[in-house]
Amino acid sequence: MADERERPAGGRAANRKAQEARTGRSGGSPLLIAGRVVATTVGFAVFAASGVVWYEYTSLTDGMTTSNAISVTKKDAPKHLDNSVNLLLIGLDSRKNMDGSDLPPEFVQDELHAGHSSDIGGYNTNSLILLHIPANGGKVQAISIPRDDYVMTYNGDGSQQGMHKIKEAYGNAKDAFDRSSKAKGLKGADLEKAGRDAGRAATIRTVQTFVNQPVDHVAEVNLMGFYDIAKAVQPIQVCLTHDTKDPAMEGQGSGADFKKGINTLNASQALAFVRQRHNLDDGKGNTGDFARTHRQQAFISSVVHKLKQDGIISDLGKLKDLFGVVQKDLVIDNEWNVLDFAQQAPALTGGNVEFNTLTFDGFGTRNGQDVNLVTPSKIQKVVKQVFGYADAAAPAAPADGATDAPTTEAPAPAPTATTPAKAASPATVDVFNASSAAGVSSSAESKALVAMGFKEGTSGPAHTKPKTTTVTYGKGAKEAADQIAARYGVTATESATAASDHVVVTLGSTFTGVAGDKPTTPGPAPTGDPAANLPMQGPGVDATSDGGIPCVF
Amino acid sequence: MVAVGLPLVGAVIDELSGPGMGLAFAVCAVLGTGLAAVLSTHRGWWWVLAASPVIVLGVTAVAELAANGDKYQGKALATGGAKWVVHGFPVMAQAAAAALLVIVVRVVRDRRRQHG
Repeated sequence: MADERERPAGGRAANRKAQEARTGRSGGSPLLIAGRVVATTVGFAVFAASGVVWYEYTSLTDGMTTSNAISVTKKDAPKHLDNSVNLLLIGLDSRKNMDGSDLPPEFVQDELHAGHSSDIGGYNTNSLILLHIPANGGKVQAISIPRDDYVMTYNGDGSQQGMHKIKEAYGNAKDAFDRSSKAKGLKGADLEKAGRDAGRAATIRTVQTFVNQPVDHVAEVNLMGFYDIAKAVQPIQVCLTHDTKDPAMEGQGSGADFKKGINTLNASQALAFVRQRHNLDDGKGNTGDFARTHRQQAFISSVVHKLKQDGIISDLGKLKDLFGVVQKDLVIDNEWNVLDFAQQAPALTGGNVEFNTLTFDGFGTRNGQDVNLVTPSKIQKVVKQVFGYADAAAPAAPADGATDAPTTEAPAPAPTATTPAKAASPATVDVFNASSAAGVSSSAESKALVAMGFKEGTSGPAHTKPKTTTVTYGKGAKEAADQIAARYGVTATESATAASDHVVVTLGSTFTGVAGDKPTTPGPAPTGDPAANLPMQGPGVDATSDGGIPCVF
Repeated sequence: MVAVGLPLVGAVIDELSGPGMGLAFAVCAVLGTGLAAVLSTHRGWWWVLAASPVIVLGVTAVAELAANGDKYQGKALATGGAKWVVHGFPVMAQAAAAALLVIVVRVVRDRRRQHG
């Protein structure tokens, strides 16, 4: 349509131009001269301004290592339910440079506290964090995937590697690549880059399949890169709830030595902070690896907080300087446009992020190794809920032996503010109660739903006495109804008797309350938090808590 | 007509063939500007050079908005605009280079004709 409108205008201009050119009469009247000056000025201004923008952009992206892994894994990725963006952060435990050469042993030992050999750690993806940036702003949900989760790992092309720890997909794929015919003729840095790309594609595919969510972009940092980045932003303040010590020994200990409360870290200490897994046990099952994921989550929160405080995020010049330092340590996918990121960044840099760690069924021994046993379908349901996609078959949140019931130890300041699920539509909710269970009332339930962002409608006793809770909705309220139904673990149905933009909740006679609202939860009921009544490994880390520096174990 | 028409055709081809502006648009924009420089008089050259960047950017914006208007709202429009500029500049530069080349060739030829 716009094409049609543009054409006559453009055509006129061209005609005029041609006419002037042919007759050679232009340049006579002062008006024409003025017009010509203005037109040329505008033309050259556009040209020059574009040049400047283009130069800034290219200087920003030049020197960045990019990976084409996403193009391989995107083809048959799970479908996106909306315009949200999922971003996978990979923390690679490699003690090698980007080009595959070994880091100086003294450096690995003294600064990274990671043993003295560049061979330890291999190519394990010891940190995997999946960030979900909602389409319409709101809280970013981040989930850490425990590195020892025992899952089917895949190569980038979708072929199965077999059952492995999720952290091994990368290294397996890289090994396979190095031995394959594709590696022939590649040497040194080229071989390393291609091998790592195979590793990245494998990791993305494996995560994508495991959690059944598409991965849109990937960012990878290794030990050396983390150190460099930490060096660029140090000193970094973090907060601990306990004193802790973890002497460095032959590639095992992290060299951590921190005290309770705020600790100010340099780059080397920062690495110890996110790597420590020994002498960490909060007595609630969050040992070693799991406590470490919380450390990593808290660290990211602290760094973002610091960047914000130093005004780096709001100052394009400073941000560019920082970017210049870290770009050689970061690998991002080649479809991740810096400009797109600038658009998504505020959601992240605003610090409005909540981190959670995926739970597991129990420990096991597979191939002589300690692993976390997981049920992918359970994990997928949880992830779907956390990402704000109301699932008709909501998980019943059974806290099994090896895991902690999240309701009993949810972090005190439960976020009640914006969540991605809430922004949907301001439907009016009517609540009718058929349950006589203690503590259940239509008005209390109505309040809880209003807290989720819905408008209060009428409430009172139910006319019918259904056994199970039902959620029906009128025209235009499907989305809201789906969200509400998820709260009760039922499926919403459209009803002719429900008014438009209205959702009718009838609490069944067997209804005894929603697990997340039970009084065992300290503080206000975290009804607005999509992760509130889901099984998670240990407490979530809210980037906005404790003044931006969340305290962790 | 050629100067505007060709980039438009290129833009349409690119929008149909996939997201964003691509090679067809660039080639057509460069050809269009070059041809305009060939067809116009000496006085018209200024117009050609001045109009070329505006047309490149304008056509990009119009074509993108026409094709995926729903995508560009609010902040997305700002980043979209920045993207158009970043992608547009090399095209502008090439188009300007093409026009300059044509102009130089024509000037040299005219001189030869006059002196020869």
